[in-house]
Amino acid sequence: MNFWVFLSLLWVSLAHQYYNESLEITPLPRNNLLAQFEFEVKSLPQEIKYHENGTESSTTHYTYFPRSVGPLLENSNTRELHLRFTQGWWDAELWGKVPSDGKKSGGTGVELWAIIEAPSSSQALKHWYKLSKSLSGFFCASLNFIDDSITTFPLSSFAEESFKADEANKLFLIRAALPSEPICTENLTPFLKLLPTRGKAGVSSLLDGHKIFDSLWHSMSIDIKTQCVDDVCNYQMDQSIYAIIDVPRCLRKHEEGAIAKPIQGENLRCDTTKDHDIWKCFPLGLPTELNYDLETIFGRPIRGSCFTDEVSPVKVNFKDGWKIDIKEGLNINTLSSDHPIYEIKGTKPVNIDFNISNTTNIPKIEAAPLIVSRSLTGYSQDKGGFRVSFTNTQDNEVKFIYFESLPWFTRLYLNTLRATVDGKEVDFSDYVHLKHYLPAIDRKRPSHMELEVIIPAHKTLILNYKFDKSLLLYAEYPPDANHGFSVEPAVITVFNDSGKLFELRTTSSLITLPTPDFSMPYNVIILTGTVMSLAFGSVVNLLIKDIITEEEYEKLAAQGKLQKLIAKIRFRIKFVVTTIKNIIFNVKSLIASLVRK
Amino acid sequence: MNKLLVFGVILRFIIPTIFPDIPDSLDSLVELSTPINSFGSLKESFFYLSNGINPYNGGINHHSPLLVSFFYNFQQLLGNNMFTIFTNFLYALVDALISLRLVKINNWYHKYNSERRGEKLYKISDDLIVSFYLFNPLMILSTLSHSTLIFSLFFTIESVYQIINGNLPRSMISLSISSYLSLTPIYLIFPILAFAHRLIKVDQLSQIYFHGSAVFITSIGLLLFFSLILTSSAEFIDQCYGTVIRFDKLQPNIGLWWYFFTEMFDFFTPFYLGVFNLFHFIFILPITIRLFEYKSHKTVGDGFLAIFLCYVWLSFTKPYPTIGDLGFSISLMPIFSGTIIPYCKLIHITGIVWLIGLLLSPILYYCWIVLGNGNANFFYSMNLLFGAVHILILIDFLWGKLVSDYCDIHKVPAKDRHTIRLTQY
Repeated sequence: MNFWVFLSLLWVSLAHQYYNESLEITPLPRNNLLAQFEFEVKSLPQEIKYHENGTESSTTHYTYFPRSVGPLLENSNTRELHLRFTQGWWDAELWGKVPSDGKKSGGTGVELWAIIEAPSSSQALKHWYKLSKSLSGFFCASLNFIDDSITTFPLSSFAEESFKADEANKLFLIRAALPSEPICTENLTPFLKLLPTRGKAGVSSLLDGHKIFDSLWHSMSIDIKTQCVDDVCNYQMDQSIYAIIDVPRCLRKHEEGAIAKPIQGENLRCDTTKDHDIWKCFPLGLPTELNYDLETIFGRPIRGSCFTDEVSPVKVNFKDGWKIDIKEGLNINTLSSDHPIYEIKGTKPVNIDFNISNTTNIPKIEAAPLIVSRSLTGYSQDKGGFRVSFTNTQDNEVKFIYFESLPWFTRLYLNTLRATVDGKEVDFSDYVHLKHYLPAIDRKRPSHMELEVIIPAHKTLILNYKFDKSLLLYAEYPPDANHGFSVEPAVITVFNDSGKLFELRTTSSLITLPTPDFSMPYNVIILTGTVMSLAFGSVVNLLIKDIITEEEYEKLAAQGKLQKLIAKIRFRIKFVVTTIKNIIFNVKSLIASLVRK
Repeated sequence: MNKLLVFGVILRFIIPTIFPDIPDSLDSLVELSTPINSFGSLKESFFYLSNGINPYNGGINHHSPLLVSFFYNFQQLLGNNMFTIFTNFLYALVDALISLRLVKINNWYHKYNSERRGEKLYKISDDLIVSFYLFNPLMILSTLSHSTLIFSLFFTIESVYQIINGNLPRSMISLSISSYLSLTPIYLIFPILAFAHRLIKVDQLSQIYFHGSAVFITSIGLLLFFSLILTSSAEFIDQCYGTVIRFDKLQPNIGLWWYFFTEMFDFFTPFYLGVFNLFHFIFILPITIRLFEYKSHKTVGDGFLAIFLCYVWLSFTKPYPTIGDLGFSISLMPIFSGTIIPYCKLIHITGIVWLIGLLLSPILYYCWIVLGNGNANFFYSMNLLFGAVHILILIDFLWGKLVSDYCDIHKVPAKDRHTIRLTQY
């Protein structure tokens, strides 16, 4: 009895410590909004040990930490797990820095990296595949397609270790990415299931797949770390969803439905300073006056706070010209007048109204320290290349690691690496240092390149390098072979002496490989076989048949069938006998010479 | 001849020196470069070496370690610009040496066969032999693309030349280097030993076979041993020779293998790999035995023709052929102008088929890969055509030799020799 009282007391007192959630809304130019959902969960302290072949989990109680994830991590000896689901293109010039310094959002598609404890790399890979296969079922993503041909062991780009392994073991950082994976509601549902609120209360109740995945850019991430004090460890899981929401699009969809219709005449926004009547209209730019609420944008209101006695904070970064209607159930935490924090309490649905007189008046956007773009060069299906341009926007030099893993079917020629700075060709070794390069092995290993690059202030460095595109086997092409193959985004990690500052990714690239004709297998086998047997047959005939004149042949042909056959056999025997005789003669002389010796 | 030689060398040296982009752009043509002989991948291996990466642990280098280290050391020694000039010069030099060897072989072949037959045969002039090699557009393109095929060709032809010279060990060493560089010439050991059987005067004939193969195996062993020491791992064997045998690198070329294995169903691939590898050397021994110069008749058989036909067969069934292989057999053909060419009936057809293939194959490849208005079948049809060229050369020369042998055995008078109608039964 005493125990239960104690436990429930512990529960209440620790609740706040074990789960946090928040939503931050930041206006961006062109009537876009950046929504940042953050959820933090911590597990109860427990002991974490290395299990060679998986084990029944010793821990059965995780409180807020998802029951499904704990055993998964323990069985695969995963000490750190990072999973990213991202779609869309982050417009760094318009939107500035990626939220959380890019440390919580991935490149296009799905990205997974983990720190796994194991005695050897082969054992680590075994754990890794166990992990990726389990996660695949868990998140309804194609993570089960992770195999040797896309798995890398990054050296420096992702390193952030907080766990100390057993003395006999080492920690392995393993990474893979699936750039062509579409992100969909089926990935969001398991994501929400991990939350203690299950997406039914608190800010997570805003997350509706239809709205989140309708955004210009969105990223879902899960980061699990093991934090230890002496022998007692606990898992810390950060889940976050970032989305850039196109507000006019949301409003239009809300009013008109999903199918776009032409704008009605009376709704046209014409430039009144110019000539305009019912026939003529010079359209104005985007509206600067907008009224909307959370429900229009996310499709639902916030269903109260996460737990009845908890507070779910919603932070809105706004400037003058933004008026926000506070409704019942909201407390304002007046820490700063520019960034009020609305605290949601109770169980009532909460909606926030935005009445904006000037949408262009937005907080200053933090510029990205580095703008990177990677594009494909070349025009043919058998050769190509990459052109990567890095622009340093800062007043001081920037140092970063460029991590790139290309699939094996791009045969990289790194000796073609050329660099230009501000349009002038330079010796690349002045700016770029090849930290690590592991060439690809066909079907077994991707190429893995890590470059350390230093760019002086306000300079643009452009790297060019070439590759050959390999032909694949007939069965290795996907059903839509001419659609192309995705190449995963490169990862750029900006750092200084004290550590990692900022992370960003290029877009993924779509390369087209040469394709065979898929209707041809039988024809090719037949035609090649024909040419080969033509050669074989004619050479065999020439080599073994006897030669006669045509007159002799006709004489033979005039005879009856039996005589013909006899003559044929006779010729054969004669030919074989002479050949054998010749060979025997030579062998004899060989033997004779041996004997004489 | 000297003028022609100088001109040929200058042509090969000046063009890539003045236009340094030419080797690179030619190296990107599938007709000229394959994964195993492309100069681009050799240069990539320099990059690996200078960055401390093992060039045989994956990647795109399939050149033999000694060749890589030879070029790499020169590149380190000379610097990039001088190295380009050095390679241009080296390739031109090797070509000149090949053409000189061809001249020597031609002279010997004419003398030998004239003596054998006891009549003065028609002899093609040295100038023409040199021109057929040095100004053969296929050989020029092959050299300008800096395909490493040329070294293998040089050592093959050197091996034949050393037999004529009467030096069996040197011949075997050359052949072993040639096989070490590109594997395929290893099959030529049979016709070359049979060739030596007739030409090299030794006390005991067995010496030729025993000494020959012993020297061959020893020198191959030494080469592999040095490579092993150089790379300190055996990975190069898989990368250089395994790639050839297993046909790992699917890249279009002018041979029969690539499209066949692209389209082949997975579970049949190992079987057909076996079949194709068997097919690769299936006629080496039969041709060698059939064209062996038996003592039973003075003029029957032709050891050098056997080598030539085996070479054509190997080039036909190679996993990674280039037009350099075909071009080389075409450069060898004029040597037979006194003996077999008079009996050949298909030369014109061969020439026309060959020209069509040569003209259309880059066009159709461009249609498939760049324009997208053709597909792989277009280019594949040209591969079949190249196959046909090889078959035509093979049967034409073989038949020519058989007719000539028939005429000699049956003592057909000279005036009837070209009108006699023969068939096989």
